[in-house]
Amino acid sequence: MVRTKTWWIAAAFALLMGALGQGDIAGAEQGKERPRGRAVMWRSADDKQKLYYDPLNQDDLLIEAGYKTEYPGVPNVDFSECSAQHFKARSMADLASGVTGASRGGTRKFQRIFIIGHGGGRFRLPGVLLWPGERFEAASLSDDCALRLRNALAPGGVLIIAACGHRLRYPGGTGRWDDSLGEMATRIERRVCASPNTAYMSLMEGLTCQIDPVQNPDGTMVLAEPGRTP
Amino acid sequence: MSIEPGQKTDLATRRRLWRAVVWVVIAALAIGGGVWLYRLATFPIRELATLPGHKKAVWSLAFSSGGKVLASGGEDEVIRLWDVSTGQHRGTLKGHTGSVNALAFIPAAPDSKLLVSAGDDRTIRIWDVQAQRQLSILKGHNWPVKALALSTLKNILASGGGGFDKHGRNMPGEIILWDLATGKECGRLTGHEGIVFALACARHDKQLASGSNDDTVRIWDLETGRQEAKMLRHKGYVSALAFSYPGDLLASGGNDGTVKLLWLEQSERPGFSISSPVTGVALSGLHTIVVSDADGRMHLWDCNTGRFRGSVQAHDASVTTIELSPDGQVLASACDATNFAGQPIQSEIKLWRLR
Repeated sequence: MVRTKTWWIAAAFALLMGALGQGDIAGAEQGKERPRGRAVMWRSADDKQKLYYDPLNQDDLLIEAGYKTEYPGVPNVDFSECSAQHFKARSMADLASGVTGASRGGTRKFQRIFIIGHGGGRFRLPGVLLWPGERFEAASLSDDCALRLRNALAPGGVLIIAACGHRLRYPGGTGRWDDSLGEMATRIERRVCASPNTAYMSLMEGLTCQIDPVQNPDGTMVLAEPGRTP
Repeated sequence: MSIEPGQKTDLATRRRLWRAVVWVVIAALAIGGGVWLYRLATFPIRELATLPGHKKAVWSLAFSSGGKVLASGGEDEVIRLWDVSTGQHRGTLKGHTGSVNALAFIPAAPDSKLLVSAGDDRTIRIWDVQAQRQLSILKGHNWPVKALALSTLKNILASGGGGFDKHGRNMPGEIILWDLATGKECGRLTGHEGIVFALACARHDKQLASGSNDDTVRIWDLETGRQEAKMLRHKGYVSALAFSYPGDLLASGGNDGTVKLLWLEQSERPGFSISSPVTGVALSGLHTIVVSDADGRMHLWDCNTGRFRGSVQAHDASVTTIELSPDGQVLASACDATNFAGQPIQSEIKLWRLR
């Protein structure tokens, strides 16, 4: 008898909590709509970094490069509570299949696809380390993966490389760095942007570029459009 | 309680089975351990020492002709001198007002007394290593100087460099030849359409190889200044070049992650490919090629057979350059001051023993 009572109390509590949660979501949907899929320029209070993109939302897809979480000495960024769909990719094949799965074979379109990870140092063109020996960049981007990304992104959508870039420090020159980003945008047929210097990403703040007097005085990202370098 | 004859047999069989399993595990461990010990004993590279001291990325290394002194230069605009046998810091040479990109000891000078350095301040400086003072400055470059090569028999120094326009596009690369006896410019080699990142002189001193941001490797005749060959060899800038002794084999490394081998008198050989940009190449005799990469690793191959000999994680940041001692026994490697996660770290130089 006591056990039955406990079950009833637990069920009622669960129903109450569920209703409260539903109310929260409904309230958020009815509230002021936030701009989605476009750059938002906010300067942080300490004037050292700029919030470039809104926090992740349900129109976004987040791809966590495997290198990010496993790298020794680097605090793990936990995206498990992220409202956007997210998955881990350790290879180009993982990335391609994950994008197709998240977009349900291309029937669902995202406004923004973030790929978060490490840039890999000054000798690299714009891209992300997926795993030691595997990197997402224009040279390694397969036609199949480019097609899947194109299908998953809305026509006005943007692929955001959320990793540190070294545009001014790249020995081959900024021209080559920009060309590489432009090549990626052309192959995906969508806009692609990358940070020219240090970038951070968190669940609450979204993507942040560091303001650097030399490398990035405005704290902005470099945006490439299909067929055009920045 | 009594044990039946059948139960006795079962227990004995189980014991025998367990014994067999234990012996198999012991044998597997012994074989695995033996293989591990064998590989450890025959691994082609072994770390000797770490030399911290530079405050920023180290870009250039050079061994004296006897292999006793190592010079290093980098973004902190100073040149540091190290005792190779003890790893002790011997002194600091100050004078450059930009990153020190290339270093070379003049072997003809007694006891490798003279050191040449080149930097982002567009100058080439000659130093007396023993007195630790600057002797002279060679000016003539219009852009940062990125590479040096010495032709000891002809007493010629070759320096290469270049720069970008305001859009970050290549300007024509510069190679200047200097007469070391007079300190005067004695020729210019024109043709490269991008920064000259690497120069190497064959030991017989007739040929100079240059690698550039225009993705080509070119071979020049040092006597006539004529371009002998132009090879479009990489799909990214050429970051490193090395000649073997006596100068028949040329190896080039590119930002596209490939290493190409070329026998100058014969033909091109199959090269090697790695998954990240090549940052340095060194040839030990005709046998071993050492390749460093942007993931902080060093890879070794046998040039004659093409056999992969091993790979080692040398640094926690991109390897910026490697240099082999004249006897081919000691290798020095240097790294960037930012790790793969973009965090600043202590840049360091490591010394390795090659087998």
